[in-house]
Amino acid sequence: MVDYLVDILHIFFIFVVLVMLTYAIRHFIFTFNRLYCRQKFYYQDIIDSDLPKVTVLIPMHNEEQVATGVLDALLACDYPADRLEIKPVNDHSEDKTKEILEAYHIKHPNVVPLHREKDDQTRGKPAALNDAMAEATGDIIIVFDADYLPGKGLIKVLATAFADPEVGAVMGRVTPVNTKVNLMTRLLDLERSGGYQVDQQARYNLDLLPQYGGTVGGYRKALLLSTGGFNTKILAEDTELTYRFMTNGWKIAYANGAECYEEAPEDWGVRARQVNRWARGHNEVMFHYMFKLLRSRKITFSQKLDGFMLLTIYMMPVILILGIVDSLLLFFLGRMDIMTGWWIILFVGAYNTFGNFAPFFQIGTAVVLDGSKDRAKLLPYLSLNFYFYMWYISKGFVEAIVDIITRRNAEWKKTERYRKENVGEKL
Amino acid sequence: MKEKILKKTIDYSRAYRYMNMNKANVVMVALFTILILAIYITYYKEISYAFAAGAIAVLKPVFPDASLHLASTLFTQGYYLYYVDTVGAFPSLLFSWGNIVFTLLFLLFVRFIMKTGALSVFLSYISLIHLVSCIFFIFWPEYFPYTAATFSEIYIKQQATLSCFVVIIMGFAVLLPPLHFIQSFLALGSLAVYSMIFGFVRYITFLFILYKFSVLYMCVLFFVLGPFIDFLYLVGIYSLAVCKAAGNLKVQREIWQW
Repeated sequence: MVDYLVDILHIFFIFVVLVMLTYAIRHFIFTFNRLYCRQKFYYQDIIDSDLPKVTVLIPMHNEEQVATGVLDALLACDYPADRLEIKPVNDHSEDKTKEILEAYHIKHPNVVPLHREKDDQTRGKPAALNDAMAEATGDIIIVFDADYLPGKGLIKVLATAFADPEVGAVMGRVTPVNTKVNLMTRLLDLERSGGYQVDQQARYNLDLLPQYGGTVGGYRKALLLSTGGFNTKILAEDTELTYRFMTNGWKIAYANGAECYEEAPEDWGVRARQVNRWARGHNEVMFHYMFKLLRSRKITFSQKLDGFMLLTIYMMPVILILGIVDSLLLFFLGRMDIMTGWWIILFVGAYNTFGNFAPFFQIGTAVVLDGSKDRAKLLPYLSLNFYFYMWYISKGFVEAIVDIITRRNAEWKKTERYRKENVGEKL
Repeated sequence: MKEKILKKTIDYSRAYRYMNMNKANVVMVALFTILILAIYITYYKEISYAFAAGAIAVLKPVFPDASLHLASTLFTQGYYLYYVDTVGAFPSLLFSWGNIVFTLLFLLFVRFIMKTGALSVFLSYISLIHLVSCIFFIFWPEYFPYTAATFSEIYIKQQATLSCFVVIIMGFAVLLPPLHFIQSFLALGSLAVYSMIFGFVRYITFLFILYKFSVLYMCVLFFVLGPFIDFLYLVGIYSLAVCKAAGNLKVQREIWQW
């Protein structure tokens, strides 16, 4: 009996090691491609006089600290005013968000806020976006979170991608604006570099699956509405859109040059909730789309493989925890023999998960590509994230399973803001 | 806010730049990695002897009465390694209970007093591992499968593979940034040397704890201070190499391709 158990534990241990190695190889290929191969350009050199009508949606819940920043930045954009509608969505705010939006609406007619105030309305970003899309006049929807500060040409750059009739959605690059606040914001800056500068661009280069990230990105309104709008029961509406479009044969374009500043979490508690929500939402998408992805005939084998690995990535910390439990059992059963050599590889997984699934060499390469020198010295500090992410992502995985089984509605919790702005003055 | 974002100089776009690989550098790095591995494989028996003899030399004055002997073990076919044959302190029931109470109190402190953060999660992980160990020693002490000697033997075997793996991983990692091959050699060489020194210091520390305190801590030593820490110095050395590479590129701008 014990021998059978030990065999099973050994097999699982080898499985974990192989999974971790597979992900390490995947990221090595991405990193190599990004650094040493010719890059696939985005559509930024296209000059189109016939720009599409764009509606910018900005979901807001108690955003008085940051609302003016994003609206001012959007109003300063060089996109033709007659083709641009700015629609902030006030989702049951209890602070001065509504007053701020109304003040902007009076001064700027193309700022058309939507106020969601009824008690019986479903709350959260997917529901808010669905309601806003019903009123939006643009053919293209571009979404920004309220803490973002888009540059002057960003809307034009993002909208240009839709000149390609095969493109269903587009994604820009996210860069933290509050990098210098503390160690955590600096580490998040490194993560973002690894994720966008290397991971997303390499996936775009290789015709795989760049991910629509729910902000600094856009999509065709008609396409999303024809497939039923956002699923309000899923927290990761961005990942859901990516897989919905992809399995139906639409392309996701990635604009590495379309950088936009965001406010990164400055507190571990806030980061924990954010990562937990991402993991929960991502795994919900995994349960919904795994078979659709594998059965889809509209994508290539390599896209399926990349889609599969991306879909299961938020399961990796769970597999790692199980791997550690497995190792503990082997330890107390006196069967560490297999681990003397292989135990080390289990921790390759550790560095796969550092930086929210960007291994250290990927982040290091992103730092080189970004042209920054001293940021690299912070790489060892990413180890702080390992157990932290492993715990909160695994917690999100368990919550996703409960969501699926009980069919409960997951409650959307927005990320706290830190910016200090004088709201009274703005009003 | 916007004023803070404005830059004094606008550099060439970083969005789509890449570089041509220096193939000669890659070959040199690969050869150097293989050379270090060859040295390890050829001389690891002698290295393990140095580890074991050194550990005895360090620990003997501290524990004059301790039984510390040099022993050898079969690693793979025909390949023997040396280790320290020693004894460890077996925990009493009271000691195990004391540890369990302290660990539970510590867990409560972490859960309710400490702020959510990376440190609190890491401390919880250590506490949980130790809690499992304490429970095992309270209910099934007679089934604990290791002595300090077997742990010492496993450590030496693990260190042998670990030393090779960190060099292989670093070999792949330094292939990527545009380093001069001498800089890559320095990164790989310093990693190999650091790995040896760190492995030796850790070996002595583990044997000291097992002898002086208890084998109750064996589990936590293995799972917390094992390869995870080795990856930490690997990334530390890699980060310095990347820093150097980024510095090189500040002056060699012609490397970039668009």
